[in-house]
Amino acid sequence: MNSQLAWEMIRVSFRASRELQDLLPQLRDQCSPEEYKDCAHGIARAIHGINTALIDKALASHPELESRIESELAEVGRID
Amino acid sequence: MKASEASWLVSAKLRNINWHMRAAVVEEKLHKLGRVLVKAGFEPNQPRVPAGNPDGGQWTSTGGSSNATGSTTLDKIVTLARRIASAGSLLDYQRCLDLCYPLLERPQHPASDGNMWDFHRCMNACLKLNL
Repeated sequence: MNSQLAWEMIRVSFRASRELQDLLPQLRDQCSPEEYKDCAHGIARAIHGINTALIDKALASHPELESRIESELAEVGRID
Repeated sequence: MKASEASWLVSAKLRNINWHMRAAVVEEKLHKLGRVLVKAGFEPNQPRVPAGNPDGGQWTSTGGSSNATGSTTLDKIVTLARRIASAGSLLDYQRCLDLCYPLLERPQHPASDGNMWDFHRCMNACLKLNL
């Protein structure tokens, strides 16, 4: 995997996780606490699955991209 | 000296050498564990949540409390995860999830990825992927 493709995997993974995370406030507002906790755990599991399956794999091939993630988060707060 | 006595002596010496070798391995592992505990900031006298509570047995601070969206900080959670993992009590996946998912609930700018990245680091630390 080349560096450009690895970064694309990371970028798309962050976007997918962001979408999942955006559900949390809606679920908190509209569900019972039990339902919310169940769904929030499901979202956390899904995000962790994306992270380990894609981000960790990309970083294993290109560890230097971790510092790029850190610097982009510090500068603009997101990965685009 | 009879052959059987010589054989027994040789055997005893070999057992003795074997014992010392194994003891050295155990000693080295104990030293290594000690270094890890020191590095992780392990404090054996730190209070724990009493038995009977849902979090019974887990380390706690002497003052204050945290909640999912307010004072919970990445450093506090990751440190706890590392400390528990380093102490040899491997956390299972569900417990790591319980520990780390409040990071996703912290208030943040709608377009920010900070919580997700912190959650990622927390899970990896908890599951010892990055230790």
